Amino acid sequence: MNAIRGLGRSIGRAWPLFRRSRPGVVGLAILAFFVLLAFAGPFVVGPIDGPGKYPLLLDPSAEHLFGTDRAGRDLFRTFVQSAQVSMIVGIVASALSMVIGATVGIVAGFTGGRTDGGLMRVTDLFYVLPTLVLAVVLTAILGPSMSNVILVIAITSWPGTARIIRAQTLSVRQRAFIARARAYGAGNSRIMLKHVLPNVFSLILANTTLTIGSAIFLETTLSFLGVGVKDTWSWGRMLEESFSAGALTLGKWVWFVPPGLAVVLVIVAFTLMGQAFDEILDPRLRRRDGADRGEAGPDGDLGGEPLGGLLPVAVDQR
Amino acid sequence: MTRGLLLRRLGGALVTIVLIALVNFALFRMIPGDPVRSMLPRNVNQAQRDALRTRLGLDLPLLPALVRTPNGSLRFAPETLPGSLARNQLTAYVSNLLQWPPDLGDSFIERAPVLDVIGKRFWPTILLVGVAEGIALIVGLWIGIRAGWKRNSWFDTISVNTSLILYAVPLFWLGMLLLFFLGTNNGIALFPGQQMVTIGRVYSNGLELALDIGAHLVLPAATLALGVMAEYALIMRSSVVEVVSEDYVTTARAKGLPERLVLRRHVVPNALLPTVSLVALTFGYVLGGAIGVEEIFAWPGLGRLTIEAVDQRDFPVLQGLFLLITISVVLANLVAELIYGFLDPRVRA
Amino acid sequence: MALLEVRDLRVEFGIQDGTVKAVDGVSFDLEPGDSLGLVGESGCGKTTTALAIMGLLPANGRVSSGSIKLNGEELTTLSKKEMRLHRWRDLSIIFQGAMNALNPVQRVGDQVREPILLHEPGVSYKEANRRVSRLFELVGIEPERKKRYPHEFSGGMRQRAMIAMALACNPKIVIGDEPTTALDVMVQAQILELLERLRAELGLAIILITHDLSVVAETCTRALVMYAGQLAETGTTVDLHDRPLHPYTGRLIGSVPDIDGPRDLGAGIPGRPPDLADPPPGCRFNPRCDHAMAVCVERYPEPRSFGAGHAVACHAVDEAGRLRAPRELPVLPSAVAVLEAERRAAEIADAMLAEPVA
Repeated sequence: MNAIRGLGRSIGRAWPLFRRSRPGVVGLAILAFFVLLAFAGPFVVGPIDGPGKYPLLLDPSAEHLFGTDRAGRDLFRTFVQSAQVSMIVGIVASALSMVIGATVGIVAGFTGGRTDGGLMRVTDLFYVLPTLVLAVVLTAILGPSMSNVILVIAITSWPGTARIIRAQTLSVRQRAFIARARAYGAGNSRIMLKHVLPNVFSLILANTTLTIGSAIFLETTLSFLGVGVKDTWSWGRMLEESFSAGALTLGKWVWFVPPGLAVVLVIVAFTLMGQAFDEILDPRLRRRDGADRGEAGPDGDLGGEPLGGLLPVAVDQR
Repeated sequence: MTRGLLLRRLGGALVTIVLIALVNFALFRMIPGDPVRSMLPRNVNQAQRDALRTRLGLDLPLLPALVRTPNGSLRFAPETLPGSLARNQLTAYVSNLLQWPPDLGDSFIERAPVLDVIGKRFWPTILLVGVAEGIALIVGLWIGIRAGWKRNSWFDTISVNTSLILYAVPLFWLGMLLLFFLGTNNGIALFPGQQMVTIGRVYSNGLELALDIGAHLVLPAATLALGVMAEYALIMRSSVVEVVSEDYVTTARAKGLPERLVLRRHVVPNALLPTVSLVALTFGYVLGGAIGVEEIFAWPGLGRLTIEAVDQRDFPVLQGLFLLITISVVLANLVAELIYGFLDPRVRA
Repeated sequence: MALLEVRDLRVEFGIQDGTVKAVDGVSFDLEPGDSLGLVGESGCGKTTTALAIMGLLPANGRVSSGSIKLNGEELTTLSKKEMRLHRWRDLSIIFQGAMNALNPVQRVGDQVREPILLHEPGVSYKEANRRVSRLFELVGIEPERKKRYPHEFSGGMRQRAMIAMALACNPKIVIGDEPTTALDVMVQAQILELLERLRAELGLAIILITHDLSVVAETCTRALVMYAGQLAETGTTVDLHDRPLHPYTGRLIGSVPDIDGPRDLGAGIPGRPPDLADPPPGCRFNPRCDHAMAVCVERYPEPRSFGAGHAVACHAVDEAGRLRAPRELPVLPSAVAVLEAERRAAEIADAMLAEPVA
């Protein structure tokens, strides 16, 4: 309940600022398009065809926008269905990763001491392990399927979040209302849930936009490498299928350009929105108030920094 | 860097490596089912299976008083005590690792020591990653410096936006595009497409071989370099932007230094510092990216070996690769910390 | 012709929604051996004035009108390159704090040597090094410390090194931008003494920028009090201290803690300097002024002279140099809000201090 109220409050507060950020609005527009494609598209174009429904390897035409694949499936239909899987994997995996990361971050930051040391040791270990390599090994062990991919992405991509949330928790812990809650006799878990969580929530939310992007990125790569989604279609699996079917030598670029481009656009959209959130959350990046304008430092540019603190986060998460 | 700090860093890296070795041990014992069954053809008998089990050390208890049954479940087995205290899979694993050269077991497929299998595929990856990293560092840092210094100029706008897009591009897909447009007759076949050398070609001297490898290297190295370059450019740019607003840069200007000297003597040396560790952090990403790129260009390196091992469920090889790659990432970070310590007098002293 | 003549200087910053008039009509002269204090709260345009003189305004700032003449040569119209050649040879600056004003990854000696090699191509490395040693001695640092890095210096030593650097090319004018802020009182006094000694020995002209009127009183012969980019009052430090005319100057003196007196922080000045993108009309001090009248909202008071070198820009000062009291204007709602917010912030701070630390 608390979380939902926090969510509502964060969105309500952020929206007027978000609307003013051009990258944010562009990102949201791109994303809206793909969300529509992913969740309304399948009803319009219908389910994926069984093999052999149409002639093999047709070129694009009015009837088959992207042509057909080597099994005679309509590629446009596959593309639209794949959008849904890629989106769902991205969203569910990063939601899971957020839960892990936020829990670890809040508990470590709030409890401190040995617990903090131990949790951070584990976090740092996961942090240095190359995400993709770990994910490949894990999916190879668990077997390729949509649910396993979600699980693996969640397991490999939480450390960045945990570190950010921990840092924020450390500063929230210092605030007066925590001490007051403690004085009223609230227990640790209650304080974490009722007082710390709402205060780190907007950060969690902003971070999610970045992790969804990198989750989709990871899913695409895993599926391309043959250890991702095998039980259904995703953009990554389309790319894998096109590559192993020799689309490159056959000259069938419609087979691999649209799904790849879609992945790029979705990730760019999330990055742009992340930028907007960054500007909203980091007051240093926002336009400064009048009081210190007169004494502008040597770097008098008061405009928002396009990348700001975004970068290290994004780098961590790949 | 003080001795104490140096020792702490070395110790930290060592602890991480030990943890990684333990993770490696645990991971590959989580494989569902009976590994021996999946390794051998269906028609072998139980005795043959048991022989292999013994050879692989899988008949030993997993840990003291913990046994993994052939169907994969774990069982508390106090009856194995006290023998299993000293003789279990973990102790066997550790003692195998501590030999020189370390014994990583045998490949299921090639029936050869994992170390040899990996060794054969080691150098192509070193070549690919080395060249790509080199190019990406030089070009990426240069772009980042220029963009951050001339912030909000057209150069900055273009390079930031290009980098943001490149940053979102899966490396293997970038490789597909480059291969399609520059390596096949569907575009302009400027460069040889796949493999590391032209198949079936006989070389009269080493130079010819080197040139052929060089030609084959262009596209995969360019793919990898482009992807990583974008990250380096963004990292360096934000670092430069930060440093430019520091007081000592104003001091340098106030001293009457021309802009290029302000940049070269005061901005760049300071901006490079945080970049060193961030660049090291991307090393894992580069190695991961190499998997997809090697797959696209049929480059006979470790990345391709990873995929082959996954496809053929050759777990000993996969285990060896995981250990090698993760440890090299840890070492890269350690080296970065040492370089940082060397570059920054505040840490060095 | 004075060494430095600043006339009706105006500096603007372009920001997203408009311009900020950071300095609005400041004038003063400086002769060799002079020491002039620029005083005011942070954000009043002192540093901007200094940066404008040095030609170091950030990219979005510009001198919109007025003139700065060095030995009769107009500086505001010089090209970047011409201005660059004046820096450090004629004008040098000691930045605030010196914590970050020194490059952390370069040896201090090298940083002091840099301008010598740059501006005096005839000087050899060896000679320059010898000069650095002499400069170190001059400011009271052992020359062996040349090879050290800034983080190995104490705050006071860094400030001394900064001064040594400022003197490297024998400039005519040295600007000290809060050179003693963030130093403890003992070191502050040493640094000020050093500056004063160097001024006397080398015939430097010094512009000292500070928010602390007591620092000016100790070091400078004349001072210029600025408020929100405008001149409030100027005169000898004795005049300003003994006979402050502008209500703001009075308040500044009131906010100086008296070392010999009881240990409290003085009255302080309620409220904050105004938003310079949208300054109050007329005299910019009117929302915080105890003596504001109707005319104060209508127009900026032209500075009027009260004896040699003593001038004040205030409507509330009568011909005899007395303040008309008290405030006629209602306190503006915004000022009330600011005061209220500050009171609450203080309360919260107290409450937090009282609470047990977890």
